[in-house]
Amino acid sequence: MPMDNEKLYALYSAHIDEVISEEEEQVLKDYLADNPEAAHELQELKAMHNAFGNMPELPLPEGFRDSFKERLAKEPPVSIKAKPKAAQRGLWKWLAAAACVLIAVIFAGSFGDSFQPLQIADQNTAPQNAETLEYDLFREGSGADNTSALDGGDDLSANYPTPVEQSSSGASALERNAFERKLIKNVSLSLEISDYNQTFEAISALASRYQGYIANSETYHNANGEPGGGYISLRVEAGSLELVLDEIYTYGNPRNESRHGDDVTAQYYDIQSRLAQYQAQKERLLELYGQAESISDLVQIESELGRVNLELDSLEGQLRYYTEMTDLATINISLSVPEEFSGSKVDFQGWGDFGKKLTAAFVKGINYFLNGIANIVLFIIAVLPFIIIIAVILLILILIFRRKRPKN
Amino acid sequence: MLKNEEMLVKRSQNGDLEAFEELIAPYQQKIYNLAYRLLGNYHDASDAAQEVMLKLYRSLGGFRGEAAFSTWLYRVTINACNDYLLKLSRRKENSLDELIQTDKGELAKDIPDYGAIPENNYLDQELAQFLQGLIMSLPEEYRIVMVLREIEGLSYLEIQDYLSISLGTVKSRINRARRLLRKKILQNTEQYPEFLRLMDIREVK
Repeated sequence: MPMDNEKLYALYSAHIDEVISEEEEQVLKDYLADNPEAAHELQELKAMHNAFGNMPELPLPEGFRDSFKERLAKEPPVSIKAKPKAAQRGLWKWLAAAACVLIAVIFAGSFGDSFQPLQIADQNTAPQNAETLEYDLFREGSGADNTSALDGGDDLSANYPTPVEQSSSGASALERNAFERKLIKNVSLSLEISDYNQTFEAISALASRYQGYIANSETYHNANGEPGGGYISLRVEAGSLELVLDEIYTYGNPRNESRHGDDVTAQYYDIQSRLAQYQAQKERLLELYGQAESISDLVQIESELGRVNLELDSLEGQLRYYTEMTDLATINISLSVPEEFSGSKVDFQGWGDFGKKLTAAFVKGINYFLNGIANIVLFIIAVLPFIIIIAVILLILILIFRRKRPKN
Repeated sequence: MLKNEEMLVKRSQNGDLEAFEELIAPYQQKIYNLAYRLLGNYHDASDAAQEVMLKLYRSLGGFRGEAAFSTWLYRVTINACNDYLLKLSRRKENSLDELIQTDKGELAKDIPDYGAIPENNYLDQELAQFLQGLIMSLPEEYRIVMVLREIEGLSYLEIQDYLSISLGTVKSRINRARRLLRKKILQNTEQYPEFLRLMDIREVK
């Protein structure tokens, strides 16, 4: 079967970079079986790929850090301009759109019933406020059509980079359609509650009800020694995140909530496909191991197997991490008991051990008194030489004064 | 993100230069290496890497902690390196030995001597130089994609995302670059068998 060079190289690359589909792999295999020189060519390309991958990391040149330090010192101070958050920008956009539609509807309404479609448009637009936009972040999309390694086509003639290509939202939309999205979901919220211990227990129970657990918790105590607030990091099944949140909100007075989603779709599927490739490679190696005839072959295969096993372990670990992170969502709850709820109880804490405290106070008083006397004595002894000198001078002065005075 | 890193980011955003130095220190080598692979000489790579780090400092205000700091840093670095590369290719070839004309006469350019870079051993050095030469022989658009794929080990999707080019473009650039490189190796008939042998050693290792 003839194949043009462009297509052949696309297959080579897909094979080398391990993004080849099963059908493509079969096509390539068949082709290589008929064309030994192509098999050789692929070997060379693989060798090149491996050689690039093994290029050593260069150390920093001498004087690099110092010279950077000098350049950095010349930098004018940074000014941080707080950029409006995407969600807020989105909100303004939607508000503006809703306002336009509203004006249009009012305007159209005055002309009679013939402008019905505009009112329908308004109904569709209005609920799209910031809240629903934020929730979109966590909505999972799925699709069955896998992107093939060959479907890229040839757009090299396009100038680099074209404005259309630069749109990053377009890129993520493509990702979303191709795979089930893998999101690491994080929600942070703060809650004002009346009873800390009760709320903590309720949250623990909630966690176990939704196959989750408390990953982390801290409790703060107020001046009266009661729990006055704290922090709980909860991990629950991602699918039941909304249910859990609904329940948590019934425990107290929600203050604020923020959501954050890390899209790890690309990493996840990359690891998965590499894992599959390594598994296939391991199978092939095991097969070869069974057929090996010379000791040197065995040694070589064994070392290769060791390398593949290491890769497999590392990839499996990474995949487990991502699976665990995406299967369970994290809810960070910051709890606080406001003043009005705490410290409003009458207690006799101050009267406990009254006798002991009384004795202690009396002994303390005597000690202060004795200390004071000792200090006064010490002071007098310390200034004694000066007093003697001053007394002698005074005595002499008085004697002189008396002698000079005419006697009666 | 590590707590400590978060703190350093905050301090750097408030203009604390020492905090920024500490923040960037673990990434300096990676940035330098990426720059070196793209530009192929120590002088340009050092300059570009420092340029990139200054750019990171200046744009730190735009980092709001929505992604990990390292991810953000990598994105800015790749884009800044790419910009530098394209800028350099458009600039007239600027010779280091060329004298600067001033009204007081000619001056030699003051170029810091970063010293020789030791490679692990002779074979590594020779092979690395040969491979670096191959990368440099590629047109810039192919070069960045190949460096990100082959040396940085990024996936197609990551390259698409970082460079804001379509997946099809990523694929076709990689395919063509490989074809070009193989042609270059074949043209180099004297060295060809020797280097292929070296590469084969790597493959088994």
